[in-house]
Amino acid sequence: MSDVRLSNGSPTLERTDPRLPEHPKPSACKSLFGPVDHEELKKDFNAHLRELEEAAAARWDFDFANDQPLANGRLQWELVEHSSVPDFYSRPPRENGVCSGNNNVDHNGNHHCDGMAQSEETSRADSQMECTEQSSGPRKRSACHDPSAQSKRSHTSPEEVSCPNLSHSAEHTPRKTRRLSALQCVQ
Amino acid sequence: MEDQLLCCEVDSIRRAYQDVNLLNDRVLHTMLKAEENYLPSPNYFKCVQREIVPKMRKILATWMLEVCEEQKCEEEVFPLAMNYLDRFLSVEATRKTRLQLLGATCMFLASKMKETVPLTAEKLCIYTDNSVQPGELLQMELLVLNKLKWDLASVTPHDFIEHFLSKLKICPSTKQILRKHAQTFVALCATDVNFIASPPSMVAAGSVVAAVQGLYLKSQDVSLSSQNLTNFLSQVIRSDPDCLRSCQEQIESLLESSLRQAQQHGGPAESKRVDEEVDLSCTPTDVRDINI
Repeated sequence: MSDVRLSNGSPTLERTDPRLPEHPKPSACKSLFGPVDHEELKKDFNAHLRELEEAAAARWDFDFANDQPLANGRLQWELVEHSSVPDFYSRPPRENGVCSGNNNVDHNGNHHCDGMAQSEETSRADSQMECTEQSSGPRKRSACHDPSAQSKRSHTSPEEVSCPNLSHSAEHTPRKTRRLSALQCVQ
Repeated sequence: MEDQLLCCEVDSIRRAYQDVNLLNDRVLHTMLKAEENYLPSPNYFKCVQREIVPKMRKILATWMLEVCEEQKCEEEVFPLAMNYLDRFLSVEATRKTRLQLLGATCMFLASKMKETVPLTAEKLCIYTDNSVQPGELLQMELLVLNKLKWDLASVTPHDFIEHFLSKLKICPSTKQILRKHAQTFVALCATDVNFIASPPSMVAAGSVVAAVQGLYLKSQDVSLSSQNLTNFLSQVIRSDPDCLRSCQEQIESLLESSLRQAQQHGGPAESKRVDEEVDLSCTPTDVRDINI
């Protein structure tokens, strides 16, 4: 299976040598359109993130910043045991992924200093969840909370909340699903 | 056994063989339908942007191509990144000073989509001469993803080239050269604003015809004559032969002007800027020599 290169549709390109480990040549390193105003950029990003978080919160009845459900939401969230969900929800992320070491923004744009901080936050959320747990109806996992998740849910349906393909979400957004490991959404 | 395998993985990029089951008309028709969903707005410079003008896109594209070339990215990465860029600019007014950050972010995403070892945020930031920071790039990534509605599976001209080549009766070695040339034309088109709204299938077909012309393959087989090939491929992409011909001519004149520009800026001080254009432009000439 090591021969498989899944991502490439044109297998007979001439480029078969691996990416060079060297640093970029100075000649290609250039600032094209003048200096960036970092402060203003940060402000704009924060405004965008707030918008996104609000949209996600409205969609999922969940306060992602504080890891707890919204009070009067249409969805009910309940706590489940770690052992009852597949281990990819709880195992730690890969160390030093290819896309960088020192970022503190995860796929959702949420800020996390490192893995430790994140797991603390999750356990804090877990303990809070126990107080607010409301259990009714059949259990269903909530795998995904970004505002553009592929399947529209019917919030008004008395039936189970349908969820996007679990393995799909897990593959593409491991951190996201891991954060929600302890919570399930029930209707 | 395992050691051997590991060694192989280190030494070269491993690729799967082309799946011939994917080179059928059903797939082609699905792609022709799907490509419509990923077309940028043709007039975003006028309707959406206030600071960005076509010339800036060219400067940015030239830099992005240079980075992709230097980092030996897969051929698809650059056109895909340009598609993300155009789609983003079609919906979001952007500051001039943030354009390079956007370009870097689009390469970051396209590389992740297409490569087993993607470009890192840090490396891309170095290419901006550290004018942006990795954290900013990651936040920009999120913004781009949201503006593109997380739909990164754009159809690119590269997806079509293989289909077209599979329909031509040419020997494998010629096919390889033809593929290379067509891909070069596709990259060239991605740098040019006149092709922003052209469907990828059209750009791919025009590039294949232009490559066949450039390589003088027409003399070998009557089905490869310009007219026959244009008629045939325009049927394949369900378009008008005249449209395809005009696309092909546009590609050829773009090539010519790039060549001219490269010659004019041939001085050592300017050579960096036009490096990749020289690369792009010179390829057909070189191969023509080989064929003769």
